Amino acid sequence: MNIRSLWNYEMRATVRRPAPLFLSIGIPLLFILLIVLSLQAMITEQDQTIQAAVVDEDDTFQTKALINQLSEEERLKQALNLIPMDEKEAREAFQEGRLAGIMTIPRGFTESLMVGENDPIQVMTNREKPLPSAMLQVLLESGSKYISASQSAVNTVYDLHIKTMPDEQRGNNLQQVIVTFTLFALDRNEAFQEERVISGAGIGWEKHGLIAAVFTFVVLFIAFYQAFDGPSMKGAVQMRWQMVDVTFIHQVMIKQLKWWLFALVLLEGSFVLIHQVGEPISWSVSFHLGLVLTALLLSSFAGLLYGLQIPSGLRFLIFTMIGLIGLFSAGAYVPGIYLPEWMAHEWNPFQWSYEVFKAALTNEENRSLFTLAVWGIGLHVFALVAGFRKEKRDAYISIFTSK
Amino acid sequence: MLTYLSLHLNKWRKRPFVILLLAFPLLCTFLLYPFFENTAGETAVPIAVVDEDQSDDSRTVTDRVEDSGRVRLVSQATRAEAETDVQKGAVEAAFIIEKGFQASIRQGEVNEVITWIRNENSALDVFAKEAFGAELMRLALNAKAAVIVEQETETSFEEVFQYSDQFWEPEPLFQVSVTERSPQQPEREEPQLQSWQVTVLQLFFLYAWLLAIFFLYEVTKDENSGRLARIKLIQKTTASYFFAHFVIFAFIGLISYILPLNGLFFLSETPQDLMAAWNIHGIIVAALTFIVTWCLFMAFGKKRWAVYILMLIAVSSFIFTITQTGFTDLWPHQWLLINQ
Repeated sequence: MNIRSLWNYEMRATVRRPAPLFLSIGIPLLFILLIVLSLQAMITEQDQTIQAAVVDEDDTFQTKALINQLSEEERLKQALNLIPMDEKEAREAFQEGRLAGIMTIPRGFTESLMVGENDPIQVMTNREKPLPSAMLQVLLESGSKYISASQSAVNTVYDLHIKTMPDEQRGNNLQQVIVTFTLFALDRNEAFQEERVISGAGIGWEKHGLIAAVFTFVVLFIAFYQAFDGPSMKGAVQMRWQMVDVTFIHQVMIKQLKWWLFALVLLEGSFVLIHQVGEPISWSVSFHLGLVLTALLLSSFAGLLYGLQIPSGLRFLIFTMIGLIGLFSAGAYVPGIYLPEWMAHEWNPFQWSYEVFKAALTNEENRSLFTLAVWGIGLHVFALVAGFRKEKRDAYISIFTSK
Repeated sequence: MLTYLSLHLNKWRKRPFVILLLAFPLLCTFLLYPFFENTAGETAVPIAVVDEDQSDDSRTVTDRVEDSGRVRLVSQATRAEAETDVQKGAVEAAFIIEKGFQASIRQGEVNEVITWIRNENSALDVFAKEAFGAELMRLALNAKAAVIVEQETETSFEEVFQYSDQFWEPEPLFQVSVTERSPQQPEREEPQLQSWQVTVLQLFFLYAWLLAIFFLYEVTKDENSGRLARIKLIQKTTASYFFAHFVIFAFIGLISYILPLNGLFFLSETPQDLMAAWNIHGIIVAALTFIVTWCLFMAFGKKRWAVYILMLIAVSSFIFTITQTGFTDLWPHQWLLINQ
């Protein structure tokens, strides 16, 4: 009966002082919203064609073929607009911030290429346009291997065959070989026969992003809420509760119950919202049970830190740090298949929570309940033991006497 | 003066966790750096490969793709197994090296020698496709050159093939040398931190700032408990009390920023001149930020709500700067990045 009074007291306090609850919901939401907005801005920026200048100081048939090879390559063409300019024009455009980079083909480049030397092409990227600059670099590096392949073949035919020809035939033959090999290298997509299969369990980036947002939101919510809501009772209030056999272990239980309830409501609410905006969710008993256990896992972990009487600021740091590392290693940010194999652990509870969300979005069978239950209940028991130790330290063994 | 310093410091004697709070970012840096360093180094796109040709050339291509980095090849025995892996999402895509691969390549032909299996969610597999494409074009163009030269001269196919391939050693012919410059000063080359380092040090700065703001709360407590009134009654002034408070406030902020910052520089082997520049710049920005924060708190009347307002400003500064969402020049987190 007394423990119900404590529950009523806690809930009344939540209603009368709702600021911690709203702040704990608002701050993570704001954080995620801003991250999403900035990611969207990055993606929009990425969709625009990258503007880069090419300054051809060598100006030979080979360098023209090379520029043609870069600007006509299918993938590069979609993403990169390579504009021929002289050095002065390019520098002015760069200083005005209109270019992501300048590619300069130095004088004597063709000669060095023909003798098999590696005079590099100079690329100056714009520090103030980091994403287009990085893209420009990736695109040029990707094109450079194909150019190396065709140039190696050109050099070979020149050295072993064309070089021995009479002067008047040499130029024409060389140009013909350059054109043949350049076009051949451009046709490399012909080497691949593309087949598409239906993705069964593959989750896709959109759904992955949704899970990452919901999971991060709930972890940050608990991190903030247990810190704002969780200062231990002090002085007179605590004494009064002790008078009716309600002690620290009961506080641990009630706080944990409250955090669990709010986490569960937020989880269910988030998935209802996802469903409403058009992403079908497979509602099933095992999915709801998965959410119950995920909420239990997070609230029990917060309850354990509370039971250990760690100050609220430090609790926030520990919970946030472990929570975010857990999410990362569970593949909530970078999908698990890209992460190193040593990071995938069967015992990682965050991984199993991720599986619950994934199963709901992909209509798969949910197999994570047992491990999640073991973790949730285990942490809950540890939290109670921690609370009980405090009672013993206070020489107050209420657990045997409370009704 | 010493009396007031010890007055503030004595509050921590019963709360040793404050030391832990000061060292928390440093501790995290030393614990997490190896974890993230290993993870970043080993993160790769998983790709299934089925070698139906089982030839020297097919092995050469797969070996070279595997060595190119950022791709983790998973060998599968059959096409069906690879397809299942793609469907299950266990790999990003599958590449089937078709039977007759080597025979086609050696004739300088590349039409549909590799089957590329993907699903609607595959995205990063284009990098693997580019890697396969580059390696097979290397062999195909060597062969194409060999076919031409063999027809016109007495040099054997294998000799020409090897001659063409030697242009790839020690480095491929076509090299790109990239330098990053600012549009304002394209002539000047300045060393700079990597973007992840900048984000981490902005987090350190946020932590240090918030921790210092928490310490402002001590003044409110002293005022509410009547301690400030007693000091004023006995000493006639509270100037020394506030001065000592400011010294410790600034110390908490600076030490909790500078310690992890240098821990990070040490672990990531940052050049000395860059370390010195970021330390000096960081200390100036931090000192300025803490002076303004402390003055604002005093101007707000040392109230409890002022602490929350200042915390909100600190968090906003961090979020608006990392997301570059506007008014960025207003925020101290942006001032930290003047050299970037």
